[in-house]
Amino acid sequence: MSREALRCAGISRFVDTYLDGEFGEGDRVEFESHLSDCDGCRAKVRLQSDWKKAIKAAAPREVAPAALRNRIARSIARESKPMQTWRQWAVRALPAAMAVGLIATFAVSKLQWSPVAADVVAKHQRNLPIEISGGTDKVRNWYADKVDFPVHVPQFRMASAALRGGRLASIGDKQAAYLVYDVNGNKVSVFVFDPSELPVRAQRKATIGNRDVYFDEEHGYNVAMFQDRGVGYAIASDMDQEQMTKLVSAAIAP
Amino acid sequence: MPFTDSLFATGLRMTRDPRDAEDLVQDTMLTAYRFFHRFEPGTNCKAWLFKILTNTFINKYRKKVREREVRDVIDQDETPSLMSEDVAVASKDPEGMIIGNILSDDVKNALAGVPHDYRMAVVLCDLEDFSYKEIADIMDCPVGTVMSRLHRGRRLLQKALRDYAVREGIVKDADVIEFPSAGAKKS
Repeated sequence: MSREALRCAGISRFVDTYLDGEFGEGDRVEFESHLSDCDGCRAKVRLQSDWKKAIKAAAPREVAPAALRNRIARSIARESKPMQTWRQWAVRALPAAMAVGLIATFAVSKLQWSPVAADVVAKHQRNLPIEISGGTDKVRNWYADKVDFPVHVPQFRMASAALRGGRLASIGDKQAAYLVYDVNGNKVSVFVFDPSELPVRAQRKATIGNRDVYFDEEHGYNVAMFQDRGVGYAIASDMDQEQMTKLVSAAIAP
Repeated sequence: MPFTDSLFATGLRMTRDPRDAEDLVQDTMLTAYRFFHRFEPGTNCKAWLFKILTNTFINKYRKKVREREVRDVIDQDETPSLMSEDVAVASKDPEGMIIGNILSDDVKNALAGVPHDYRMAVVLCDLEDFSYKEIADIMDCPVGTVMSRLHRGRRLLQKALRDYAVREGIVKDADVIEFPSAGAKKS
């Protein structure tokens, strides 16, 4: 076998790896430099690339039936048994909230999707720089001439929650105030916005302290959304649903 | 619930039965919900769900599906393989003809004929866009195994689609050259 044929044989073993984008930079460059000199291998790569694309394009687009989505939502709602867990921690940790008449009823609303959750999580994942830090009043005043709605800086009534600071942000093309907190060492992002411009709804709805709170999940992050005194709030963190529920009830004014 | 369509599509390709696929996806979602605290934030949520899907399939559905696959293979053996040399027109680019004429049912049926592990490697890579590393994690095997399963799975899938094309008279059997030999005879 000639040296060239040997190279071609070697190349053909790695056509898949190349097309799947799994080569490191160096290997990819070497592979491509061979392709540029070799019609045979180039044709081989093109053929496999065509196959890959054609199979993906022709593969049936399977859509989960609505009945399945409903079944899943119901079984999860059954699983969460909110009343029990809610009482457990409410009795232990939040007697004050109990006094307000705290009920959490996870209801499965229609499978609705709000752009708020996706956008909020996308920003939460990034480490956006803080524009203003300091006490609650200082942060609130900073927003006064920057956004068209009052920014009531939520105060989580938990010892472990601390405001890190805030910045201007957007949800979709609407302006929002973005506040960053540290709760038990977890980053918590709070977005404050005008709810008349951004509808707040999600797959799960709970009632906390007689307010409707919507829960959603995006890329593994939980998002809670609610309205308070005419202003919309969206909270994103990597806490689980139960911790999020605690967090929201600690933020909602009695 | 994110990724329900992808999970269902893959469940269908694993079980090849819509009812089993639905049950499998429901089990998967419920397990994911129960063990959500074990999900590491910042890692790929879709890959995590697919791993649960795969494990649930292996634990609860594989035996059932295997029994059905054995039956199907026996059924397939009884259908004679067609050598339809007379129906097809000779083509300068038979492979291109095949690729250009793939129908969604062909892909579905051809995939169904590929053995499970090879099929899943192809589905996860080509239809669900996972990386080799993610597939290795989902299928609980080394990356090298993913690569060989992918290679074999793709060739089997292509062979099945070529066979359909020959049967359908899109190309002549004699025109069809298999990939490993194609073009390698240079020099």
